[in-house]
Amino acid sequence: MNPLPRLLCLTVLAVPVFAGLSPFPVGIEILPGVPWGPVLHVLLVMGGVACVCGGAFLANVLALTALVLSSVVYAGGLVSWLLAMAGGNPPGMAGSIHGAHYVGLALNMLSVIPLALAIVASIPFDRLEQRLLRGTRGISSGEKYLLMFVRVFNHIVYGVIPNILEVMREEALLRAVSERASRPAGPRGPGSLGRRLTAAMVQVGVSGICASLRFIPLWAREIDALPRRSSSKHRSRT
Amino acid sequence: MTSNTQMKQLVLVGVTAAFATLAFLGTTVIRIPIPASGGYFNLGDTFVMAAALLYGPLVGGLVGAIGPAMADALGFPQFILATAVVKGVEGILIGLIVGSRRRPSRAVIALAAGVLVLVGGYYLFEAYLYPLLALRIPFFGVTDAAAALAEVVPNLLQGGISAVIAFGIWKILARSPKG
Repeated sequence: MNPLPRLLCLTVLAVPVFAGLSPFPVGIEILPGVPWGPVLHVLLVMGGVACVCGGAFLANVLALTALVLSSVVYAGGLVSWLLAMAGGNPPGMAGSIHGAHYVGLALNMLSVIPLALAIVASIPFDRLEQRLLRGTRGISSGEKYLLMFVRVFNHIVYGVIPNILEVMREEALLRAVSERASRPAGPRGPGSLGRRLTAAMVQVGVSGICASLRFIPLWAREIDALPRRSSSKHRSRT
Repeated sequence: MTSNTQMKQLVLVGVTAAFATLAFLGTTVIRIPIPASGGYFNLGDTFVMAAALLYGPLVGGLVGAIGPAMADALGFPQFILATAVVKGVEGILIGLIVGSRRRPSRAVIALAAGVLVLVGGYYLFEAYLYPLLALRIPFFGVTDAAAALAEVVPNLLQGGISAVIAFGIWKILARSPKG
């Protein structure tokens, strides 16, 4: 399917989801606090994404959704359950306090995330840059700003972040090896852990910002030098 | 428009895009939900605050209004309006207070004001504006005064941690000749 009809289909599917409206009646509850309506809506959305983008795309998107859910829903639910138990509730009671909230949240995210990712994937960002540069009549000021935005976004998402994650993984491996070789490794209280964590976050932030801003002056010069769009009135008659 | 002016504007657009993308990723990657309000805790504010400290109110405001709001579109669309307004104002205020002088004391005051805007802004939206809007648009009926109160401490924690990290980033990057 071409990008435009695909985007239109996904937008039609997305409007009720992002507006928090369900086309199905609420119906009876299949779990405490979770009625049939939202479950049918999730199934409709997934079926729609599979029809428009293909089954393989849906499988990949569901894997990503599961990763996002793991921190938001599962870890959040676990922490809430532990806190409720610490408050003196028995395990079954502790689970029912926020259980419906997290199941509802999971259902909401199972429809919102695949749709949002399908919409983003349907916008041809890679081709957008090429299309802007391919024009024979030059490009307008607005297109120049769009070109800069797209280039920076692609650079960070596909270049900077994977590199930072790779460096963090390598450093974690090196640290594990060096700490094993040279024990004891200084004081290890909660304060020390907090300071180390803050320092690590500052380091990651600085690396991310520097790597993201690195090519911007060069790109600005390059994009600025592109020929401006000339209107047919001002074209040379030679 | 002279070429030099447009090149400066292109750099500004690039810097805004970079910080907005980093704020979007920072908000999306680490999300800890708050059951009482349906919202979540994240560290995307770090990049809003750092952008405002390093590049001033315009970039700070734009980064605050664009990046975290993009992240809210993935899973929490009801909060897009509150996030765009609160974090946009937060970025503008931090940039205005810190000004062109690079004094640590000023940066600390600016960050403290930013945290207050974050906490107070969300409370205002969730306790008063969203319930009012929900009377006409059911989509906004996600919070009430009790839920907004329950979010004050997590927001304070989120703002405080983000401010500490942003201050560390600012101290390192403000030393460089171009800031």
